[in-house]
Amino acid sequence: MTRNQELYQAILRGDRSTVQKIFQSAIDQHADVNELLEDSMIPAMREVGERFARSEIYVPEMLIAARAMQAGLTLIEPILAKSNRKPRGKVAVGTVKGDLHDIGKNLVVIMLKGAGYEVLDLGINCPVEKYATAAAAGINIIMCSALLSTTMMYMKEVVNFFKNNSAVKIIVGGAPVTQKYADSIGAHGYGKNANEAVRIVERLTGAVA
Amino acid sequence: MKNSGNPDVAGRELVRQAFRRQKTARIPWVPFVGCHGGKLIGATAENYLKSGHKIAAGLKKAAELYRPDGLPVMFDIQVEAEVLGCDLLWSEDAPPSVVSHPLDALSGKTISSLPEFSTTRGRYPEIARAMEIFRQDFGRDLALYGLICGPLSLALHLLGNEIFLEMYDNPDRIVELLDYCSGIARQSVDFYLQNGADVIAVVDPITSQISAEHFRQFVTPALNPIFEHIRNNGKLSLLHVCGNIERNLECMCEATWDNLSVDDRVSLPGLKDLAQKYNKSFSGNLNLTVALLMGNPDDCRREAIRNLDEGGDTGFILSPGCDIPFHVPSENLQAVAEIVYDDNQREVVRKQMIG
Repeated sequence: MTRNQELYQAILRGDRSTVQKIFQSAIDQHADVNELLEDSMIPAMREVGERFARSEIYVPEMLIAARAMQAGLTLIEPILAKSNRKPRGKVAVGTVKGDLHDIGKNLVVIMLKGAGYEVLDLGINCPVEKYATAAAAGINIIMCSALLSTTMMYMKEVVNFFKNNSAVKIIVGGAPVTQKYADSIGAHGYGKNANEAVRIVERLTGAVA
Repeated sequence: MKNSGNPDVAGRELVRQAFRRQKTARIPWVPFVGCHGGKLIGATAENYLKSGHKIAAGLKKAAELYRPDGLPVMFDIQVEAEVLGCDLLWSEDAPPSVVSHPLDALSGKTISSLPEFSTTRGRYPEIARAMEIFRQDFGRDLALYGLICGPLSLALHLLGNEIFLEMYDNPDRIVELLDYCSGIARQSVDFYLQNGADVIAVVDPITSQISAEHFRQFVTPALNPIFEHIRNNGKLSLLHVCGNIERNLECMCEATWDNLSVDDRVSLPGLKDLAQKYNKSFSGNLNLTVALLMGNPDDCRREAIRNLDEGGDTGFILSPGCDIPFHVPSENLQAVAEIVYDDNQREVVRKQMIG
């Protein structure tokens, strides 16, 4: 298990053509693409998230890194599907009802995919019924995003809706949201940024201690 | 209405002194009453932000309750975008959101095919009406802020999230778009100046989402002509950016605004030092959610004390970190006003905080 430094660095700088070349070459040579994914691409996206959390990179850099990652994933998805590789978990992410902002939500989706999770992107303006549909489909991690202090209040409705369903965990985040607010509404987790959101998911899914 | 603490100095003059980095007899207080004004008069945000008469009534009520030294005529950075063809989704308790982006890949439009910008269209006539009534009510005692959408935030309205990838893929397109948005902003500045604004606040929250390098590359060349235009007309300029901009403060200070307004994710003592270095003034940064929206009057008194003590009496204006949320209880903002005006209250709360 060794890191492919060229792939790792290509993800960090958002160089999708290099990512595509590396994966295509691996496919042509019948190499283990899962190893490239696990040992190089996922760690690179983790590093991207950590740099973002430290304000060393910003939204454009996150997005080009994600695009490079997606370019690689698109090439290897058919192979991964045949290999019965299981995702680390399933998560549903949506911006709450009344809120049409999606930058923060998209960053969380990117980071979760980059960490190996299967993500159901519920989009924007999500009523509680939409989250409930995801839970009914067996997804136990529900993530709610909001940019506005007014729409943030809807998170409480989502938490209340699931309060009798101990299997479902609610994680909240977004510009106006704080740990204090998350605690006050009974959310199971609060992600200060996209990177932290992934760490919370990892804790709740038992992926890390 | 003379609220300054010094009966000879109106609030507007206090604000001007702070902008010039002069020591003020009392720290000026400018609550950013936007859609919250609707709550004060029993109107929805939509009805409020579409009506000059309602805005004027909301500002009058805010002035009575909160005793400000200045007020923004409106806090809504979708006004320009609406004129340029962006569709808005209205809310009962928040400013509208842009739901369509006329320059995005789906629309395939170019800048030249956008509707011609004019401040006779959209909600500008209602804003002019509100400003006229405001001046009738308050004369020149209160500083009136005219808010315009900053070039990067307007560019995001027009182009959508593609803008972030285009900064790498097609930087010339972004330079062209920001130059266009800077021109729109200058037309908006002219509108506010013609209607009696004392301060032009350029509100550009999206700049918190890009690096210092991108700020210098794309935003500074678009912002500075706006600030120069304001200065050439003898008025004061403010840049408002909410979000965590700690790492971008230095590059933002290189731009030519007079006052930088920030939210509570920025350390006021740090900004104070930087403002002094660049000989500029600054505003901030009452916490909007935990204190103003969800807290009680005591929480807000403590928050106001923190701000006043950190900001100091030279070149600082006490303001919320952004547009005051619709549902903020009035008594919370009245508690802030008490701290602004009442020396004894300040001392009592300080002692409680220490104890």
